[in-house]
Amino acid sequence: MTEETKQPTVFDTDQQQLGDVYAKAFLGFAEESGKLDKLVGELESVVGVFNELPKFRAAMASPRIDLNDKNEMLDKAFKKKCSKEMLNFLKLVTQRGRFDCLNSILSSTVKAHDEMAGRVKATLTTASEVTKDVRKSVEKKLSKILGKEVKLDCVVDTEIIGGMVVRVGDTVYDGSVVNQLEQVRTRAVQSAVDALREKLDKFVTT
Amino acid sequence: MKISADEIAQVIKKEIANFESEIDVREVGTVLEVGDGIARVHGLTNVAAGEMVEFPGGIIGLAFNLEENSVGIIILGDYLKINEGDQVKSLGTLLSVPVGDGIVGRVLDPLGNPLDGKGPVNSSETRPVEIIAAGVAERQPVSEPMQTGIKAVDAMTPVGRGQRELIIGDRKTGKTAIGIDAILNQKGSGVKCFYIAVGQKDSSVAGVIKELEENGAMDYTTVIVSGASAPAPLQYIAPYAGTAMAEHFMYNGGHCLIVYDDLSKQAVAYRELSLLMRRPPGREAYPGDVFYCHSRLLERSVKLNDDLGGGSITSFPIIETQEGEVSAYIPTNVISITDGQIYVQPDLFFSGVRPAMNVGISVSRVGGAAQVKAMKNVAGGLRLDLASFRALEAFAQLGTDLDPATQAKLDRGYRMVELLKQPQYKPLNVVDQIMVIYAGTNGFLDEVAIPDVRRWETEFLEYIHNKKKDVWDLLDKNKDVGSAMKKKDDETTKAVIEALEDFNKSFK
Repeated sequence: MTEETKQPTVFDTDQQQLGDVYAKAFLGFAEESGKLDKLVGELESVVGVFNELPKFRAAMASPRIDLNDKNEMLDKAFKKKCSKEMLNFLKLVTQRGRFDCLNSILSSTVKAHDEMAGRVKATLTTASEVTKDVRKSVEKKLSKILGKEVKLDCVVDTEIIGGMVVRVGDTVYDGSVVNQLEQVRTRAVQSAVDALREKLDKFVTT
Repeated sequence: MKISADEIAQVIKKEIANFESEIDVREVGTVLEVGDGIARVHGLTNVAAGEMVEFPGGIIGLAFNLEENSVGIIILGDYLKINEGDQVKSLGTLLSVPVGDGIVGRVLDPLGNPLDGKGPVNSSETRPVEIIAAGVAERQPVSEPMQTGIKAVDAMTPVGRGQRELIIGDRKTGKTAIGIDAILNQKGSGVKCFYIAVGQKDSSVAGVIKELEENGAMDYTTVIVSGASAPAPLQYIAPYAGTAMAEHFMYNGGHCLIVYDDLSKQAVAYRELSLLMRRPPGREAYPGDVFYCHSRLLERSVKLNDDLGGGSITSFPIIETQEGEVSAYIPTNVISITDGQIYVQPDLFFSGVRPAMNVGISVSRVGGAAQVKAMKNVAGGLRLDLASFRALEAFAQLGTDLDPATQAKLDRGYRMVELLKQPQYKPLNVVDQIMVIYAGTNGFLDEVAIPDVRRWETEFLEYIHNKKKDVWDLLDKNKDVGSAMKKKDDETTKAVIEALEDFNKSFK
């Protein structure tokens, strides 16, 4: 993935779909066992480990390594550091040959978990770094409007010149200066065209 | 002529002064992949099928496929300027095209952008490209004739206003020529014409436009072009866009004629899109809804009832067959949708019968009700006569001696075939047509040598127009009287017979 891509979602829709399925199963199991928040947190840290060690991850995803060896590797790496349930889940994913979907599983799990808890993720884009106070007040206001607890991600993008852009899910609330300039431009062009169309002779001197 | 910049600056200044900032709320998605005129987009959760979306740079797209994890978009513009990761914004509206008097006489692309270099389209009204056709209560049966100016068509497969008459045949058999002649014949009748070129060579379209201009037909015609080099999405929507433009006139009580040239290429463009969108291929790899693609288009050609102004859209869809194969998928589909077909054949075309219409299998299912009465009386038996002539002709080729009655029938047939030939871009007025066909079917040509028949026709029409204008006017006045040209003792018939006899005396 290039650095220019600002979209945080996973791009492979097939993987995303598989991720959704595993996430649903994982959350269902976690809820039943009563350790929902703990297991989701654990999944986050485990996937973090794999992302830091791409070689380990590649080995786990590789079909050329024997399943027993993989299980042993998982045992060695995680047995004492995480819960039994987590380890079993990792083994299951390995067994099914879906280790490459781990990131999708994580993102789907976090999303679904947030949804269950009535939380929602939002992205705040501003032209310069925002202070904590501003961030807090935006968070508060958004939570009030959406009726959900808002987790705010802050992004700095100088291209918007000023103002702020908030994205919740697929909806964008754009109050940026660049957008307003664009609006002024389209309206001015439109009204000039309309005026020309109505009374062409007014503008033309022979 | 000079445009004053100050005045325009004033308008813009005013707009800036009155600008109120609003927060722009929009729904967005991200381009996953793009190519071949389509894009797959992640996001756009609430987008509706057929809704317009905007890519960076103002390129418009249409939501075509709604899937669980992505949305398939057809791109109506230059897809090479779109990149992976670009943000797509839904516009919440349906695709519309400019309509009104400003588009008449223009050459446009399917989105209504001018292609003729005559400046922007001067129109403030728009209409959605895709609408559901008028329902049964809003229609009335076809009742007015739509004269094509082609003798063979107007006599044997008459077309009424609001009818869909298919023109079908192999390549290079004169399909487009029939459509163009029909457009040329609308001069002075107030009918607005639309020529929609889909997937045609740009050189052939340029030729058609030149011909329309030279014959003064561009005063009432709009040409919508999406040539062979246009991306498939534009070829696919071109017929719908053209129909939307015509509908504006129809719902205001006007009459329109549309030539779709041709729908087989549109079906191919639609197949391309559907396959790229991974819709399951069916027969001949066309998607399952290719029938609906054509039926919903042609259903929009209607004759509206009088409460709605009585406007109409008549359409001439064109289908190109391969090696005369009418039982292929698309030809059978469109044959079953339309109200009749004009079938043109290469063997007739190359033996000099032009228009190369095969009379035996060409039909018009509703136009007869709308045919001019006098023409109906004259041409009533023509089709059967020609069919029996064709049977006899095959028999006569065996070289047997024929009895005089059969020989006479054959001679009459040869002359009728000759009489129904017509040069391109020379549509004939219906009154002229009635007179010459009457002459042919009633034996006034029996003494004329076969090679002289066409000379006889030109000279006779010249004679009528110059010396017997009163007869012409009388027939024009009485052409819708039931008895005209039917009984020998009718006043009109008598006058025409007299004129024919007078002329035959002087014809050498």
